[in-house]
Amino acid sequence: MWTTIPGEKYFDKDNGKMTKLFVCFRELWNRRELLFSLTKRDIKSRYQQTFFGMGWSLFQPVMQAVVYTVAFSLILKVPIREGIPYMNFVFCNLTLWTYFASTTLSAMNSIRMNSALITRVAFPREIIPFSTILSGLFDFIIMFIVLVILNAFVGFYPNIRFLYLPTIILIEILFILNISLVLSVISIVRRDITHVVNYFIMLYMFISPVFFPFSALPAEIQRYYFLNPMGTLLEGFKNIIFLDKEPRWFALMMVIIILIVLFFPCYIFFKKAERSFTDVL
Amino acid sequence: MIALRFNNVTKIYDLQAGRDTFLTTLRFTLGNVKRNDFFHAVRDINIEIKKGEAVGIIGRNGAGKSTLLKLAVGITYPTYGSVEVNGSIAALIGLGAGFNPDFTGRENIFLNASLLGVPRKRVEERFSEIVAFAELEDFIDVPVKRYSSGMYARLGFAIATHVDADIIVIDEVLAVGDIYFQQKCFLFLESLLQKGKTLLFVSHDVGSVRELCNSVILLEKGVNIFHGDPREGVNRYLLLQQKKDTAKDSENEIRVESKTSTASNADITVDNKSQEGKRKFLPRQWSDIDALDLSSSAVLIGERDVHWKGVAIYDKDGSRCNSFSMGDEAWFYYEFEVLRDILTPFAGVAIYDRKGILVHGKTTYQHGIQPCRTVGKNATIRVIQSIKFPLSPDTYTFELWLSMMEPETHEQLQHLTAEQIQAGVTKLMHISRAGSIIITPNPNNIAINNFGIVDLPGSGDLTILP
Repeated sequence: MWTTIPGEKYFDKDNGKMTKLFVCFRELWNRRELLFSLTKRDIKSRYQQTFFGMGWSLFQPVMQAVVYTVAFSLILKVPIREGIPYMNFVFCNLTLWTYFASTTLSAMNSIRMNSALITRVAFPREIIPFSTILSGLFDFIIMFIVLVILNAFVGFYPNIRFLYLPTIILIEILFILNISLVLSVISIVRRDITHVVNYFIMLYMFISPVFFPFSALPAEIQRYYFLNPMGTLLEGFKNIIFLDKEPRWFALMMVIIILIVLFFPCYIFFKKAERSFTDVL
Repeated sequence: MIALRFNNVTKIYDLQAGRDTFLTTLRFTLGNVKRNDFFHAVRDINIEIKKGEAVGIIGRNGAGKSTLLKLAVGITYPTYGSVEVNGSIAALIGLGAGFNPDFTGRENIFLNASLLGVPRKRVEERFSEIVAFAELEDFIDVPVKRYSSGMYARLGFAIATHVDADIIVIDEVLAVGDIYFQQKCFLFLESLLQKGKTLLFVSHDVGSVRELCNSVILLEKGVNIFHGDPREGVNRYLLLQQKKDTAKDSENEIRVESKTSTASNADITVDNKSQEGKRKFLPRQWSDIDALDLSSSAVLIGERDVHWKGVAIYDKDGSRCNSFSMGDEAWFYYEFEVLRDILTPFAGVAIYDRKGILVHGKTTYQHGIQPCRTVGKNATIRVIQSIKFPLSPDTYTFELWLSMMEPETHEQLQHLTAEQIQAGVTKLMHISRAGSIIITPNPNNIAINNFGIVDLPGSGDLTILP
């Protein structure tokens, strides 16, 4: 009779039945080396055969910061109450925002971009968007260093609360992961979504406190602002960097709970769709 | 112990997946039109592969071979049924799969191994072995986009086979490497098999399938029509091929018939060169032959005196082909142009098998055709030879040559020893690799197919004494 040895190397590719979630997590953990080598590949290949290398990851946000400063501070005269120069304020927000906007877009397209890999090699597919998100951290860190230098010029120095920053980043990664798990699947089946998401991210930027301070929002909206994860993160990020203030922990905790609860349906959706990736790509 | 098991596996592809637009969807739903673009890549496959087995998957293009491999590896999932895998798999599917063209060979080894799920530590241990096997010591720090396709294949093969996977899956990628690397690969695969690894591979090279595999899976239109002895599987596969060929030929035949009906006697000619002047049944007349093949791989020796104009092979029905059923007769038509005056020319055909063993060789002189005494410059020599092929199914190559004999030798032929004849013969031209012939099993009698290289004529008797 046929006997199998279930264990590390055994996996059952049966039809229809959802593979157990913990099996997925264990497999993901077993393949963590792949996650890191794909992240490394993404970072390396981004600057392959470019002359200015990582200069490009700085060029766009710096230009944006200058343009927004001219538009919102010099022309529209948006007030910043806490005595932060507008240029630094907007660059600080853009540091966090650019990471969200660019990695969401690239993670959404990552499955399609790596179709050659997916149609020929078997591995847990979520590693691809995940590694794209992690590789975006490289650009984020460069921007962050520039931010710290810029702030030092106007008298804001690193403080002890910078230790909270990894928490902020982890929450942001979880947020991007949730979104891109769903969007990457949709973008395989229908590429229309790429056209739509670009605009939605732009709209989202205008309702989040990127150009204006959180305090400019009406008090009623401020109370339920944890429903906007990026808004809450931006506010916390700014408080830590400039004001050496505690982030609003209640709102942050609410965001974490919401994101973790949402993670499971997103992940299950992705894992179910994963089975037909090769056939649709 | 079983390494891999397919349970009633069916895979259906939606050929139009993701191609519906808003407008076509509207049309299909409102017009109640059913789309019918589903393709059954494999149907109801039940296979068990034991540990340590080498299994070759053969079949025609589109038979579902690659789909079967992808199902085994877990790249794609079955529509119905299940696939069970017991052990780790290293797959080599498609050339350069998992390579990043901008990375160097060294970086790609690590990337590729991590894609196969191999810990970095083990790759570091095996690194020099992999590089040595791929013969890429000088190019290991070069981006792989500068590699030739052979180097890609070598590196891919070296990685997949050196990471200690229990099951090795290889799609038709070895064909890219040169013959020496292929030989090395097959030797290495054999050594892996001795270590108890399981091997699953797709190949169109029936010779290597027959030599390496313990069993063969023959797929036809997604159905597993045979699983078992490699020799028989290969023979059945070649038969499939032949059925397709004859189907094509029957179309041609209609055309041929309409042509010959206008000149119904054309097929029966008198061979003038024949001493007895006996009537011979020729499939084609020289005037009917439209073109001669000049194989690009042909190696010509002696182009000074003679110019080779090509060869054409016909079967007994007069259609051009190079695939013959066992025991069939083939007609070789070949032509030379003489560049200087020569004496008593004669020509020959030799058949070699895959290993380079001379199976058969005969000259026109041995067929009893007496050549003219002298042939003037710019004359054309046309040769027709028929050969019966009671050979085992395989691919054979043939060589052609043209020689001439000294007049004295020719006159005293009856009285000379073989050595003396040899001394009086000069080879004018020799064409090696002039072409190839495929011998397929005889569809009428599959039982006589397993006899060795040649079916030697003979007879037998069996009596039982009480």
